[in-house]
Amino acid sequence: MPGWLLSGRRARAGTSGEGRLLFVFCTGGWDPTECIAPMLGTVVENNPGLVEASAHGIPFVTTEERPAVREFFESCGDRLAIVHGVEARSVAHDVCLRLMLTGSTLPGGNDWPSTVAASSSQDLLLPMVHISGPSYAADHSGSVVRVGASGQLSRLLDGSGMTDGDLAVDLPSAEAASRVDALVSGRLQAAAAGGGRGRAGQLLDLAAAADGRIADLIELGGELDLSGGQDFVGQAAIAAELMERGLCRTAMVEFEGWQGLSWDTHSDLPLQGHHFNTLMEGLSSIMADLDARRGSRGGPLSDEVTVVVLSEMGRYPRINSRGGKDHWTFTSAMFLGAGVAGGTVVGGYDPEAFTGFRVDLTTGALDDGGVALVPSHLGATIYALAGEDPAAALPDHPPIAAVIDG
Amino acid sequence: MLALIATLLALHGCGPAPVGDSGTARATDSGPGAVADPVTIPLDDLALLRRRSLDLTGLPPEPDQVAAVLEDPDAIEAIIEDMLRSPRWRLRFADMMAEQFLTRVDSFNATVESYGLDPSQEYRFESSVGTEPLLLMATIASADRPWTDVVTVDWTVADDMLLEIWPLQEISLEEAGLSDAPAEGWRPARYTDGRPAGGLIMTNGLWWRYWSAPANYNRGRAAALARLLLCEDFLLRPISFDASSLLDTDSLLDATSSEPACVGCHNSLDPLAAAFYGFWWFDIYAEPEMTRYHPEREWLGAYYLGTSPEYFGTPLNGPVELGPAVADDPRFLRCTTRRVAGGLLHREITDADQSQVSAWLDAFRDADLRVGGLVRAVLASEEYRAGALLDTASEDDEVAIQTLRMMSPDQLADSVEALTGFRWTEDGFDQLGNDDLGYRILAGGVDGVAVTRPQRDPSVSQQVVLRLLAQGAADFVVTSDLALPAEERRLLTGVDGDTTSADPAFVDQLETLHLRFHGRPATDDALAEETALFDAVAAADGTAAAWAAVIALLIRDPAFWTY
Repeated sequence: MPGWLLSGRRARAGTSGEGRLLFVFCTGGWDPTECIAPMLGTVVENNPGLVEASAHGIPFVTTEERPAVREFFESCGDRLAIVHGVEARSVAHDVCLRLMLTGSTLPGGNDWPSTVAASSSQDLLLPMVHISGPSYAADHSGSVVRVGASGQLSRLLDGSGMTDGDLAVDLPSAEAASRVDALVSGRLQAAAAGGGRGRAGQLLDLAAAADGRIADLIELGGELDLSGGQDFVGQAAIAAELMERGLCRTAMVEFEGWQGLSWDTHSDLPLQGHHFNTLMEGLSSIMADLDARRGSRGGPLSDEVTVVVLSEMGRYPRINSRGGKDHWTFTSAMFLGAGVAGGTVVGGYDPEAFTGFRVDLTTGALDDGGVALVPSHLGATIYALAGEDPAAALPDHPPIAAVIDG
Repeated sequence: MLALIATLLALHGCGPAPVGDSGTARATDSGPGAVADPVTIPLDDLALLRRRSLDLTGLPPEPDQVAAVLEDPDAIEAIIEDMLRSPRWRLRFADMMAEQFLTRVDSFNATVESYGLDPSQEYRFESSVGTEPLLLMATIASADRPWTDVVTVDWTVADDMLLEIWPLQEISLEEAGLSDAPAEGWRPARYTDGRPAGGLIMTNGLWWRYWSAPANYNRGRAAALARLLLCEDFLLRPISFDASSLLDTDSLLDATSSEPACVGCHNSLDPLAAAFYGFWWFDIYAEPEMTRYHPEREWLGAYYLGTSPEYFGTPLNGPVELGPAVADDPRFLRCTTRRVAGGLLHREITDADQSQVSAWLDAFRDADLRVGGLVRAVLASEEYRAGALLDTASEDDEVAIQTLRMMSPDQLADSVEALTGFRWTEDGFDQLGNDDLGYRILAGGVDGVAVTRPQRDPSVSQQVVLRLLAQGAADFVVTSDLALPAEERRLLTGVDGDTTSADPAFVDQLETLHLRFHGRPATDDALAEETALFDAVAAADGTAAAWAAVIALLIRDPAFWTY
């Protein structure tokens, strides 16, 4: 066990029963019908060669050229729930991103991962780890620790971010740095104590709290390679390591598609197949990694971490003149791992229009008198999976109970 | 100078705490801190000078400015006028707009390699492209010209790189109506590819950031214009429609003119989009397409969108009329007012601020649309000057009124460079100005794509960036600045390598450093702490390391990076 954990200076995430979340965001707008939402024989046009298959009761489509898709469903389908027919109510990337992660079009919102992290009752070293991808944390930026997609935090902690710079500088001796650190802490605490009401006091309180984490973070940086995340799987491994150590509650990583070629396939629909194959290969690896790590309750970490896979929008059902598909306001989402009712499919799409059907939130079945799903239903479900009260933040949008185990 | 300042401080009875002596006014009709009952305590003179200096120049005040205010608090008004005429105001205005226009991104569809430039020029390329529209706005704002020029002038601004790679020709300052260059290395220039006049809305920099996919038919650009210049955001309107009728291309196109949920936006958006076909790229990643404006394609809007260019119902006789149409739109000035006020107040200006915005807009108009008039009005507002809250402040006031602000990455980088000479770069990348390898969003900034709102609160990432920046800048001072003859030094002007804490010059130097970094005199406790730090580090690592420790402490002190 790392020495600094023995210090007992900080709480460990997971020990309180608070759920933890790893977000994988597929930026650009995926086409669910190319993998997780079979729509063959409907108004939806797809790449040729897709065949229907199923595993653990979850239907999907794939081809022989996408072996990782079948392997994922077979290995992880019993821990997977898919929600179909979520309407973003926009077809603009910026707005859909904000909607899918905050439930609102309004600027200044807080995304699901930062809100859950800020809700923790524990004094975590890294409440939310933002490694890559979108981030909306207007009120919770003090809870968000940005690692940087290129491992920037690691280079800050070991000092190479400075010593590798264009101007030759030497860092101070450990003793000198420690003396300065101590004085800075004292000045921040004194300033915070006199900060008073309102923003001044809040800002200085947050500064003092952040400063109080730096020593632990530097120690952590010496033990753990935070720079290894060259792709979303590697970045997720960093998040998993931090979760295993009980240091963080939520994390965000971005998957920009196979070879970074973007999910926004206006002109190259076959890319969606490559993207999904790589995504599923990565998700299998992430789950295997979580399975191999030990959770706070003694079982595998995968029993304590929910993986949430989102994209900001879906794609128009018809192939355009450039061989791609344009934006569509309806999309799907995946929940995987802890607390998830495996083998579950919620909702669906109208085969004549590729619009979302209304659903019974409790059973997940199609229900004309049920609920038309919007991103806030996903948010409420995320809160519920994390053990937070969804009604407090989203009183008008109940969670999708069918996704939640038990 | 030091002795004078010390005398003035003694006479002024100026304490270190940013606390004033009279209450300010409270909003009773709308918006926090607008008018009526007191809810805030204003900053004292020195704290207010420092806030205004950082907001107008991005830098802490100079010692002579501190001295002037101590001698005569009313001197601050003349100092503000000097600041508004300084080149720093131009750069600061561009930085402030960068947080809202989001044009400084880490990549564009064309790259440095597209132009055959050396890869080491990547940062400069991206920075120059993203800065073009911002610096054009800043040049107009600081040149005492009416703001409407921003969308009507027939020139832009460019540096050597843009002049080399884009169809631009430098023009004289006189021809542009300027008295000095937009910024070091930048000058006025005119596109030579036949694009019409239109200032900002005819710049490559703006439309490289807000480009349009083929299937988007320039609607993205039209929506960006409305959002950025009019504060009308089409994209914030939720839509709900019967999608079953939209499953073929013809019906989808028809829907924009027939489906009620679509028509609401598209009857304005599409004719506006039709005005942008000179910027239409058949290949969205092709440098030749992106580089030039295409006058011969202006007619394509009618072909693709089935409508002639219009500006919210008013027909446009070509894109040449787009800029004047924006200039005549009252939303343009109101939106500018909101953006400038939001930048200075460090918060989102909302509909709740309507009455205050109207008052600032009046000041803007009274100044014949000179941005300086608007800025002066905001700087004079009770909310801007607030340093603390009274008990009468509401919960909304607690959230909204920024009684203390955190430096942005731009302000931090510029201030540290101005004081120490140190700029944090790696392989030519400004490390507080990029996110590919740098630390911009870790320090609280925006990357323009995934992180689009500046961070107003400290975080552990921001504190770690600050710590390393302070260490690097402090070492740079003692290894470069201290090595120079005293009269050539930037910072440690009063001491030598063998000065000890027992020398009178030591305390003088410390006090000067406090004035430089924090804009106010040191307390006795602070001086004692710093002396003890100096002695301890000097004993272990030598005098140079001791000065580095002191300087690092001053940079990390909240009195430096907050204001």
